[in-house]
Amino acid sequence: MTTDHLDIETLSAFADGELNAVLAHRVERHVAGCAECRGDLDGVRGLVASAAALARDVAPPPEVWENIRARKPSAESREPRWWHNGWLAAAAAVVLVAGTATMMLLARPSGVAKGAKLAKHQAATTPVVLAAVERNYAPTLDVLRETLDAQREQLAPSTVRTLEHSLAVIDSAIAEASAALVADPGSADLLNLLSSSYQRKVEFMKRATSLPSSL
Amino acid sequence: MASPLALVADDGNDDRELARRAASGDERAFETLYERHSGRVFALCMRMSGSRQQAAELTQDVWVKLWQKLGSFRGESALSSWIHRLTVNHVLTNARGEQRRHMHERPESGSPTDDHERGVAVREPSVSPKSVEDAIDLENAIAALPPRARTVFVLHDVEGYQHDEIAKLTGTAEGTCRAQLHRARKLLMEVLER
Amino acid sequence: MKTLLRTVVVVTLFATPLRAQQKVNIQRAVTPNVSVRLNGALSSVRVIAWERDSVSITGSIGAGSRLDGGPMGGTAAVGGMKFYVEAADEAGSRSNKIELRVPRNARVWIKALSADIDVAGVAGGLDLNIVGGSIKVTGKPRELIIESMDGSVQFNGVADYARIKTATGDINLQAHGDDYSVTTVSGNITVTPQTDWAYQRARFESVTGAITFAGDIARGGDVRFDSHSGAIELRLPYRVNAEFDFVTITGAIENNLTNHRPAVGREGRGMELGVSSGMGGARVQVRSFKGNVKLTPR
Repeated sequence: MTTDHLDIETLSAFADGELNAVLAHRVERHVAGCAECRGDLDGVRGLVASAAALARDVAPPPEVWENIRARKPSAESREPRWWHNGWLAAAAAVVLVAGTATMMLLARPSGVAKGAKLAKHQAATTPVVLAAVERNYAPTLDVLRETLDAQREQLAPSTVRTLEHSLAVIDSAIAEASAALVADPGSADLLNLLSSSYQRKVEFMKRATSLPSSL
Repeated sequence: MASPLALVADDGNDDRELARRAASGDERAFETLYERHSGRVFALCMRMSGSRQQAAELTQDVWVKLWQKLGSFRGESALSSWIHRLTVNHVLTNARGEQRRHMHERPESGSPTDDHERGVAVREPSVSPKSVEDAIDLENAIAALPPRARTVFVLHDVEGYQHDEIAKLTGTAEGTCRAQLHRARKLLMEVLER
Repeated sequence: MKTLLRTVVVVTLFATPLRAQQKVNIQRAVTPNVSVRLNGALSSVRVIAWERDSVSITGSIGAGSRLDGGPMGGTAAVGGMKFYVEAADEAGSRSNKIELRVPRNARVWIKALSADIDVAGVAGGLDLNIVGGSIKVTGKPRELIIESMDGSVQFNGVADYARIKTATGDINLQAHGDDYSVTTVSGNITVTPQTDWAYQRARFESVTGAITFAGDIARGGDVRFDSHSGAIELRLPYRVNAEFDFVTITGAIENNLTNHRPAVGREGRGMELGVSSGMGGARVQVRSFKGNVKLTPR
């Protein structure tokens, strides 16, 4: 009756051991004789394995911590954080946050920095906050750039030109935002804008790695 | 007995101690907890919500809640599990709230379980280009799943929850959870085949 | 993964050696929510939704081009179809023009290097990816995903969920929906109003492209605009019920909609505007580095 193939949902239930003995046996028999369904079953198992292998830790953007510091201890509502009167409340926190963020960033590789180091390091706040943002995105961008470079020959010259042009536009925006942050390191707005620009670059480069190749 | 290679104290006890200190207002201890566990929280929020932007907001919410609730952590489970459960609960509660806010009139089409909250996740890759591409593809495909299917897939296949736990967390029947998981896997395979 | 049941389609070769074209004509019964994928060397694709439970692919491809593919799975009513068009060279691809008719609830994926894509009436889902050319969509797709580099994008209709991205291509929307993300690097984004329809949650972003928004925002909606240096203009009705939250780093803010004057930025540079209009409710947020921001009445 059935020369039909098994649907993915059935194979998925089979892979998880959820089918009753009769059905499971039928599936097993079918799969033994059908290359396509065997391929699909392998596909399901491969998908499950890939999902289990995804990184459990993904570093949040630096501004998340800044916003947590600004919001706690009173955190009843989810009012917009940039709301004018919210600014008044958070303004004092921003300066503290910049310093604390510095401390935290410095602390990352080797344990929490002691308070005594804070004063010494506040003088070096400016490049550190910027460096932290750059560090957050650099590994991602390096790998994406490597992938793009490897694919370059497969792309049409006009596509490459468009990519490079758009990347130059994004890089220029990053450079301007970075320069502004160096001049104004306590600005949470600038930190957010810079992070957004980097995120935009990551998303753009990710898109670029999946462009259709030329013929 | 600590292995000769262990250069740091057992994290479990350390976490409990940090939680105790943070609960009494020690901000440094809270920061350390953040450094240790925020990556996990963010990854979970990102995959469950399907949006990096939303994940940032959700992560903030979770950690503000943690600051308030650390006092109620009794140490019966590992702190990381406690934080994990809190995160899952918060993301699910938030999703239910968003659903209610976004009700609107529209002709029913497609599966009645399809919701309209989606986003694009961008993952930070840390390995070689080929597996980076695959992982990015999988992350994006997960982010594009319908919300309920995505929740079950992330909790079961990524995070390793069992169906009875997922059913309890999401307030749905176990059978429904299983069906959502199989549906998610099917949708993912279709998308990733491109 | 599933392997395709491959169907090579070459129906008729016209005899003229200089401009030999191959006619394409494929018809197949399908499920109402069939997935159809078409990619490769295409210069023009028209997609039209119809009321039949079948897919029809017609058109012509150049000599030296080849259309491969067919239904996925072997059941009578097909749930998935996948086609790939190859051409000998770029000149060859310019001759490849396809017209696709699909059931209204179909999901259609198209990926091409440089093509003009025109889709009308598809309600299932659309995923369209080009480098250059143009994309035009009319109708009410539940889900709309468009990626283009240089190609322009135009959407007239309604989508529950839309993700539209270009690099330099302009984006024109006469549309609305629940969940929109519209992103460009240096293209311009223009949103024109649709009577009685509004955005629930939307984000419009550019790096240097200008953003002009004359749409409507749903009560309780949340709409954000981000640009590095592109000008942002919001043209809203006088009685709009919204809370505005604008911040620039160095750009100017001009408010002609309400009586409130923008203030100098808190950090002594740029400007800010945080005001409520009407009964409030919707959130409108603008972040600009150096682009100027204008709020004008419509």
